[in-house]
Amino acid sequence: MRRTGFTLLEATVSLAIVGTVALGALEAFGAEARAALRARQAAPAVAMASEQVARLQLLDAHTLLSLPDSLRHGRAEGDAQPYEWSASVGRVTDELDLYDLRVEVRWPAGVYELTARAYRPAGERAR
Amino acid sequence: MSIRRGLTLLELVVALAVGGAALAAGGAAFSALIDRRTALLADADVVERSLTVRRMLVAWISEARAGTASGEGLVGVRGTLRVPSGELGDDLLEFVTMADGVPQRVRLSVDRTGMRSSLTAELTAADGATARFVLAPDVAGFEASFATSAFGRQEWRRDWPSGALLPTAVVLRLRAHDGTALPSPLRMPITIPLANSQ
Repeated sequence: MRRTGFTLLEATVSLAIVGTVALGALEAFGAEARAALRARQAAPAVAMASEQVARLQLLDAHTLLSLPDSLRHGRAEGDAQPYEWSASVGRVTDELDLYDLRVEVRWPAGVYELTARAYRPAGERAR
Repeated sequence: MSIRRGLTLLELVVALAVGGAALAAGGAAFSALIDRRTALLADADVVERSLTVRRMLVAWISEARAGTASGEGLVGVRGTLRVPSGELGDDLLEFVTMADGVPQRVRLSVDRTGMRSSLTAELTAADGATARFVLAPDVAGFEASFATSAFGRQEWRRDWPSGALLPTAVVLRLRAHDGTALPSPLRMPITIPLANSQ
């Protein structure tokens, strides 16, 4: 009977298999962290966008169509990276007294957009 | 004839030394990676929770409705939004909400009994069942302002004494303790237009 150890080919194949499995595990590990990072970065943007839309919801038709600068764009620091938001308002085509509200929040790694509609019957000055 | 050739002791020692050195070098980097990941996951969790709290506050307050004398079995609630004057200042807000389809009394307050105060919610259902829980830790206090559009002009008030009328909007501002900061979704003001205001 002749017993030898592993041949070089066997050793290489087994290392390749172990390596692939390890790489897959590491990749899943990293993917979870990346997803958490994305969610963490998006959360302030989501809050910021809903806040700006809520502010637009308080305006009357006249102000909606001539947004003051303070409601048109802005930025927030202090969260490790800058978030910039911009808002725009348009009339809904073929609809009376209906307005499209759109807020976009940008940060270095992404964009979040929130849209809403506001109904402002003519003659009503403020909600 | 049998030839058995395993590894020699020298080969084994060299292999172990090389493997050990590689593990030691990779181990430090890997543990740093694990630490960063743990911190990131914890931070993401806190921020996402605070976004949920923000959404909850918006859902409750936007569905606030004017009180009725009978109160549909809600004991002691006549007002919807009430900010009592006195020592507590603005740190108390009470209202009836229809956010879950049934009337519920919500009482937002700052609990100062623990080591660090926290924003606390107390929900009372129509049958009197009460649930009390911490919404956000490390909140030192909050301020509310109320928009009214009476007489066609929007005005902001610091208090809301009426139970029969609703403001058009409420803005909540949560305060952190000195030297600390709240998670970003709770750091910015929370503006809430009321769905049922007249």
